[in-house]
Amino acid sequence: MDDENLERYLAEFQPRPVRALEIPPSIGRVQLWWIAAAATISLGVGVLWSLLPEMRRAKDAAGVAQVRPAPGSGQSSLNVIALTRLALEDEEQFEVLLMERSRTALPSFEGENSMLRILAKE
Amino acid sequence: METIKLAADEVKTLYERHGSALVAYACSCGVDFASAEDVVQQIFLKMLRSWQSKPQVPLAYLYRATRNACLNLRRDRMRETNLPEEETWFLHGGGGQEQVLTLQQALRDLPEEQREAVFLRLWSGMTLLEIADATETPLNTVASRYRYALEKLREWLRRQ
Repeated sequence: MDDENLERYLAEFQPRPVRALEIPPSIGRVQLWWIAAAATISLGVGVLWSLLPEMRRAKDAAGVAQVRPAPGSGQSSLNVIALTRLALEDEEQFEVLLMERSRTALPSFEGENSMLRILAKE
Repeated sequence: METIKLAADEVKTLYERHGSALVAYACSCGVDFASAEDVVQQIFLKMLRSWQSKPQVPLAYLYRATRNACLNLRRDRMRETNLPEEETWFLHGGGGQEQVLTLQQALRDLPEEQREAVFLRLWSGMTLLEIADATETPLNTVASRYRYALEKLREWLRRQ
């Protein structure tokens, strides 16, 4: 029997039929659940992304407000970034602030070798 | 939703066309018919679940996955009872069960790669070139495997 006849003979044998594929409905549900979860996460990220510039502006404004001298009080924390921003945005206010600070914040005399202590002794 | 429906339709079509050949192939790997059906169903369902990363040549993947699953199953069941010898997973137009059992035994005795080539060629209708592409094997190697398999099957059938 040559190859061709043998192939023909073998092709007379057919695999036994099998039962139909049983796709459980949970597969569709799982897929939908994943799609819903992905959509929710995307939405959340999108909202955060759109709010981010707004939040950054608010934070910066708060930082600037923090270094602006409150009327009557010479106290404020000196944040370098906020001070720089204030200097760029409102030069006049910045000068006022520096002036205010120079009146209230004096160099410390506590250091043993501080130049001011030496001058005071003299 | 549409994607899920498409995937399910495509998987069902694949199963209808190749499910019985894959079950027969699983049986030729030494698994009983009922277990072979379960194995093949599980593989199709797994493919449906991970449809987004479906293989380039699903048929080659299905054959490989079936073989691996059968090897695992046989290893797990090593101490269980032997296969029922009279169980048939092929049908013959002439109706001779003896011929069917002879062929089944001949297929079982083939080396793994030769058996895979025979199933892909004869009962899944792939050309040797397609088999070579799908299994990432040189065409000459596939052709040799198929030719050796036919030699052995011819010899086996002659002896019966």
